[in-house]
Amino acid sequence: MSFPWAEPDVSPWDEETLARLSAPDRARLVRRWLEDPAVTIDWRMACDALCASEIPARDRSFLVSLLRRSGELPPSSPRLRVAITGTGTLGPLVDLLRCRLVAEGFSSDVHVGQFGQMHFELRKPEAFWPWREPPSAVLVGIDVGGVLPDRTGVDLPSDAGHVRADEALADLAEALRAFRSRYPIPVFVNNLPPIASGFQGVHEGSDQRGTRPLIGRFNEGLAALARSEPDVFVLDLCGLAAELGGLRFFDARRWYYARMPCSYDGFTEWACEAASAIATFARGPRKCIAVDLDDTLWGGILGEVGPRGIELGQEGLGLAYRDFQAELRRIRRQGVLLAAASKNDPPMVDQVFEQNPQMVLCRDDFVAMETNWEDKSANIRRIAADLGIGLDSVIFLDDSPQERSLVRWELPDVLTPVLPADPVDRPRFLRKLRAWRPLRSTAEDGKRTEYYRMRAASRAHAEAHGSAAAFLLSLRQTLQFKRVEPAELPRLAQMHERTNQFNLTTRRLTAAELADLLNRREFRLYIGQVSDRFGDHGHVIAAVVRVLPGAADGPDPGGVWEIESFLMSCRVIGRVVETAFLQELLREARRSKARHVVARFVPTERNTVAAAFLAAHRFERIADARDAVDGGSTWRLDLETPLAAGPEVVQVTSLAASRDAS
Amino acid sequence: MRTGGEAPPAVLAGIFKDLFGYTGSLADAVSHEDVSGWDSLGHVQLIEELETAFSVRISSAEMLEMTHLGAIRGLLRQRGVALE
Repeated sequence: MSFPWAEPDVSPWDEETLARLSAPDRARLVRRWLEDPAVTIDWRMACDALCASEIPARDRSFLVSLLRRSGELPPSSPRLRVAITGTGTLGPLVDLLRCRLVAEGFSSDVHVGQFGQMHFELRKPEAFWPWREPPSAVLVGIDVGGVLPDRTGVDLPSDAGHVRADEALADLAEALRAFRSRYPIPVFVNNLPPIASGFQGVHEGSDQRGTRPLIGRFNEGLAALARSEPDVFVLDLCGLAAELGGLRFFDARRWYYARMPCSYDGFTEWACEAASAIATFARGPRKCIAVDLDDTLWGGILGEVGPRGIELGQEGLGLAYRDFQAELRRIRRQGVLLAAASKNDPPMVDQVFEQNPQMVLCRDDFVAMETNWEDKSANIRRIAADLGIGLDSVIFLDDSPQERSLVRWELPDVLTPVLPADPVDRPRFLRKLRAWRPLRSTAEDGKRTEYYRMRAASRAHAEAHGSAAAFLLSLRQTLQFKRVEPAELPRLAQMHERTNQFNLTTRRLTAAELADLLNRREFRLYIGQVSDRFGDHGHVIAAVVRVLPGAADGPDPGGVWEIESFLMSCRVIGRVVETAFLQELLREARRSKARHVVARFVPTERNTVAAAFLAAHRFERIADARDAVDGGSTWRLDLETPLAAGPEVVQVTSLAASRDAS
Repeated sequence: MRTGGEAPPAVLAGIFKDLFGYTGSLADAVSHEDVSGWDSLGHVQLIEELETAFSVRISSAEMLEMTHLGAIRGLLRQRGVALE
């Protein structure tokens, strides 16, 4: 008799096996898998494992050439176009960036410009791009040699050293603004790594005319530029070079013979950082970190040693665990939701939070705590469902390789990284974890945990109230509906970046694009703020409408309103808020004498919750040429149809009419 | 630090294949003129690959002379790499 699981698992690709090996051994093993014709290549894992600066250069270039010859993710993988321009020779970035984007789950076309042509390529980019459509992102690679050729200020008076840095930054800023005035595409530009100064010895730290102060001044100016320019992001090459060390990051031979600003290792780190940032822009950051408790948040098994017996303190491993908690708290404050999934008794866990003075995280830092004796995968599923987020928005951290393997097997969409075996390495691991980092932060981020706790409170309230209608009524929801003003643009852009589920068209409109639409007469941007008895949820729903003009004697003299974008934060799904918002939007359309409203739904893997929305609100399906292009559907509503009375569950205040009709 | 325990001639062939996509003859007389992609940029990368694959150090002066396979093999033999 043969058991079904007696069949050998043909795929050897396994993160845990790779993580246990040294870099050269890992490279050897992955190469063996890549060269074995019987093994299907897992390109994501191959690129993630081999395209790293710890791996021998020989194996990296083997992978790069294999990828160039034959590798691709499945055709259904999302595809990005990236244009690279800059000072210095940036050719090596092309293949490395492609590799790292594969590790992030994207296929890509990467094109690099000509040497020394950055200023021209930023002002007239379409002359250099090989595509008809603009790219998804632009990577600007600058180096000290290209941007600060006079790298010290020794010829200037001692208090004028900064002039050189300011002029160099102004040059770059002008080129970037010229580019962005024509193309509202995200730009990723690196800051400058510090190089050997012109001064030695005691003056290094005190004389303002040295290279290092100049570079520091330039980098500060660049940071300020990124803060003021929407969709310009700074890659911290300075930090990467410090991590790698100057001796490994720079290579004199590459500079003098090829004008390359860094070594192969340096380019690899650069590509990792750039790919991570571009991927985050394309699909949004992960929203929730679910953690195990025992031997992850503290040392030891709580059930065996009790709340005061766990390893958590001011020295040694206990301090490492405290720092791990501190890093998690820092991450939570930047808008990430924290949840716990642990095999423990809830009263014991409560005692740790209440009684152990060394705990850094407190109970309120967590929006969900699944402490029971069930399978971790079931707990994670429940956490994601409770929070209303997809499994692909979750990161799971657990010290046990067996638990991690199980979760990876059952929930492949959850990111389950290999936590370093030694607790002292884990705080640094958290600092380097990129998957949760959003590109932009808003004031709402600090409050996100609070919003979700409110939501949990309201659900507990729901359980007490029985029927859905009674529950919704008891919430006493209000919606404030208004036209978007400039102050709301960052939040609107953030919603476009992050919202995946209740999103009709999933258009990732950037802050710059939205600012542009705000100024154009034929676009209307609306945003809604929702409150209920538990508190203020903030801005959670929005729509972008294009008003197509109508001919005075045609069928639509008042024009047609087309909904370009309609999205709602997952934290208010299921409360009929979207209906209230849509009805207010339709009232606006009627007020402006439009006769029809058209909307499209473009299905993705994540937005099925919004699929029935238009039909449910009496839109009718019509034919449209775009349906064949993106697999979507087009719908139309005749505004002559009387509007249904607003749902009594939401009290709507509209501030839209107070703005001058334009 | 050689990878995979390959023999030096196979490593050399592998470098030319991965860097330049070149799988043609590697006779001593073959030079940068015969291999597409072996330009000044490619040359810097080739030298780096030879250094790390064979654990040798190549000076700038030597680098400028290694423009054909014969010179490459000569230097490697000089550094004690068994190419036969």
